[in-house]
This record gives sequence, C-alpha cells and structure tokens, in this order.
Amino acid sequence: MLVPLETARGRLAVVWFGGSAIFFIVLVLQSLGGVFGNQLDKAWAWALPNIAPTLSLMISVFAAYALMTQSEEDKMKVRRTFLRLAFGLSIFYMANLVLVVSIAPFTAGNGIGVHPVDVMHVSNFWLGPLQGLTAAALAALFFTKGN
Amino acid sequence: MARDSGVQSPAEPINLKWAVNTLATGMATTFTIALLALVALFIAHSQTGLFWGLGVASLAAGLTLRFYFGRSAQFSVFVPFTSIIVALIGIVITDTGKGLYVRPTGLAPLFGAYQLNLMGSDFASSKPPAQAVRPPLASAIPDPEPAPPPPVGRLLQGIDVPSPAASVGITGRAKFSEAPTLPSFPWPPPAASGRVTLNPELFAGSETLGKMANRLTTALDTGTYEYSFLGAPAGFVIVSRIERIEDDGTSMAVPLRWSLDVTQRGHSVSDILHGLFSAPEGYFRVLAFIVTDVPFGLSDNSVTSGDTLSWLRSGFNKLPEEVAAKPRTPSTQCIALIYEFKGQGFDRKVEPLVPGRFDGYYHLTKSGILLGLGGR
Repeated sequence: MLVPLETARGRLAVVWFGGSAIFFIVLVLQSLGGVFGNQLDKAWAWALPNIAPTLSLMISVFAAYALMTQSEEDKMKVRRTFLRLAFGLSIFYMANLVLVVSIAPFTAGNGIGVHPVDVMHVSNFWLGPLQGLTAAALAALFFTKGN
Repeated sequence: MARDSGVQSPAEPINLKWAVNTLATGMATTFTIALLALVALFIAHSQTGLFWGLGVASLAAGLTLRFYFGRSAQFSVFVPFTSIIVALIGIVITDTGKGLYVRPTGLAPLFGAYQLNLMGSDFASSKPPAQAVRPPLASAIPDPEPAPPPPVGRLLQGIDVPSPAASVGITGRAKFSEAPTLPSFPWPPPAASGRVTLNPELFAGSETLGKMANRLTTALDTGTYEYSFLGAPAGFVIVSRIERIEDDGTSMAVPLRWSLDVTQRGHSVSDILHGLFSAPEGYFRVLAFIVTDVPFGLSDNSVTSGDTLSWLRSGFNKLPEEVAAKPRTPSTQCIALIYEFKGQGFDRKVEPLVPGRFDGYYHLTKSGILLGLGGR
C-alpha cells in the first residue's frame, strides 16, 4: 500500500505539532507555577533542543512547497509500513517527552536527583537515542528527493 | 477506495472503518501513555521496579507492534489487553494502600525467590541483618537503685548546665545516683509565630505544676502528639513534635503529618494536579506550652525546624517529681507559643514564619488542643 507523500507529511506534522503543543503548555504552566524554582533556564535549555530542530525543519519543508501549485513531490508515494513506523516512533517520542515533564515534579528526590531538572537531564539517556531514531525516520520523508 | 486502517487520503470521504480505527489508535495511545507513566513511577521508586518496568514496557511495546503493524482488526484485542495490564498494575498499587508512591512489592510473593537469585532484589523478602536483632534494652541495663531526691529547686536553677549524671550511654553503664536535670528550653523563648496565655480556668483544680502538666499532656494525647518536657525558670515547658499542617491549620493525616519533606504530597487528583503545575510547599507547626510564674518576653532569635527536633529529642518523657510537686501559685500561667514554619521548593528549606499566618487561638483550636483542655 502506498500513501501520498503530502498526506504522510501532514499526519506526521499533526503528531509533532500537537505533541509539542502539549509539551510546551505543560512546561509553561510549570514555569509559571514555580516548579523549577531558580533553575528555570536549565529546564528550558533541556526542553527546546528536544523539539525545536525537528519542528523547524518541518516548517521549512512545508514553507518551501507552500507557494508551489505543483511539485515533483506531489507524485511521490510512501510505503504505508514505513509511514506507520515513523508515525509510531513520533508518537512514542512525544509521549516520552510529555511523560518526563509530567512526572519530574513527583520523582525528584526519590532516587533520581533532588530537583525536577535533574530528572529531565537523566531522561536524556533514553530520549537521545529515541530522538535519533525518530529523526532518521522523519528525514526520509521530509528531506529525501526522488521516487 | 476505502482503506482497511491507518491512513486516509484527504480526497476520500471518511468511512466508518477508518474512523473506528483512528479512535482505537487514540485509545491505544492513551493506554500506552498511562502504562508508561506507571512504569516510570516504578522506575523512580525502586531499582527492582526497573526490572519489572522494563519487562512490562517491552511486553506492551511488542504487542503494540504486533497488533498495530499486523494484519487487521488489531485494536479489538490490543485495547482490552492493555487495559488488563494497567488494571493488574493498579491492583498491585491498590494492594499496598499507598497510592502511586509505592514499590512494586505486591509482586514479591509471586516472583520474590526468582528475583532474589537473579536480580539481587530489594524486596521485603530479604532477611534483616543479624546485627539488627538486639536483646531488649531492659535486659542489658540493670534496674537502677532508687536515687535520693535532689534538693528542691535544684532543677529550677542552672538549667543551662547539663548534668553529667543525665547522660545515658548505649552501653547502659549510666550512673543513676543523681536525678537527671531537666534540659532547658531556650530562655527567653525564641520569637514565635503566635502566643496565647491560656485561661486559668482551664486548669481549675490543678494545685500543682504536675497536675497542670497532666491536663496538658491529656490534651496532647488526644491529638496524638509526641511531646517532651523541658525546663523553664520556676516551671517547665512541654514541646510538641513538629507536624505538617494543612493550609487551614488542621493537622495533616499520617504519614504526611510527621514528614518534613514537602515534596511528599497526597494522592488525590487535586494533589496530583497541584503537584504537576506548582512547586511543593507545606506548613509546619510546633506547640510549646510554658508553665511558669516568672514574667518573660520573647527574644529576637529565630528557631529552625532542627532546633525543634532537638528539643523533642533531648526533652524528658515525664516531669521530674521535684518540678511536678511544686505548688501552683496565683501568678502561675500557661502560655502557649506557636512556632509555624513554611517549607517550599525542592531544596526542602523550612523557614520560620514570624508572625504566623494565624493567631495563637486559631492554632490551638485547629490542633484540637483547646478542645482537649476543655475550652471552646
């Protein structure tokens, strides 16, 4: 089964922008609520690199084709198996991100650091590889040329 | 052309099967997130939980891949299966009666031996260390001979000087030839959050300081307080253990009541939501009842939570006879000092509140002490 590339990109964008919105809102509310105390800068320094590069690249791709009435990519199709893999990886990654910021205030001091920011930094152990896998899958759909 | 799952072309009308599949995807994602949250909590609370957490997560991930990327009609099986897993974990959690903050010890009876051999489990099935078993203290320390009473008034003077005879070593070789001196409460008392002079009518019929102490300890016992006796000029002080209180001044439920860690929270939905979006904070209270006929004011010195714990630790479990037998004079008063503290943030700082949020009467009412003394 083949899926139009435009459709595949759109669905992935929904996952990424939707998940990032939840992630962002939770972080903003936690920041305003004083969860991070005087380590607010460290919290955001951890958070932004986890989503900003991918979102920026997605926007740049969409922007590049936004004003074109027709392009070579319109004819491209993606195998659904691969799309599902990229889709699943993206959901899993976003779920992990939201999970980390959501439970950090509860797990701090229980073995993983003493502060929520410590928990966030510990999460880089599994978020790093996961981000690499997700980015590799997305790169094939967003930045690969050819049929 | 209708698809059997997953992706719907924007140009095609939405059919029922696609809608159901999408809905099932959302449900499965929700369950997966819930499962991950539980796994993460296990990981955070126990090293053994890491073993189980990874096992459950692997199982869930495998089933997700099998059913999601499998042939068709996957979610009719996946969703109830995930629900069962979540429910089983929920049973384990509920079984301990401690909400989400728990080690997964509920699985120990099933797999404890296996884990002990392979994982070096920290489950409760481990035997306690041998040195933890000690003979009863009473058998190690012979009953002391009755000590002759010291001169009356001795305990009320020079209370800043600890008596060497009061030191009881762990070897049980203490000398009991002299009655121990009541440790002193800081004098003048440190700045308090609130101060109340209790109505003398609350102690009607108490002709001695000992009987006044009995009235106070009865009220403290009613509130299940721990307390200690300290010395004061021409009287005594009863100090309660620092307790965590609700925002309205009532005592928190055990075990949060006696924890100084404000990052420990309740398990209600509101507690969890509050903890998710705000820094932890909590209020604490120490009650000190000073019985004396000596006029006094409060000093500018502040008190730390550690100071109050030191009072409780070093204070006596009962009032020495010499003090208890002292007659109550018309000028004897019972003054309640309330030391209120606020803890905030993950650095666990507990700072004194001077003045406090409430007046002294409010604290005595909310703590139940006033009612225990027969007041209103």
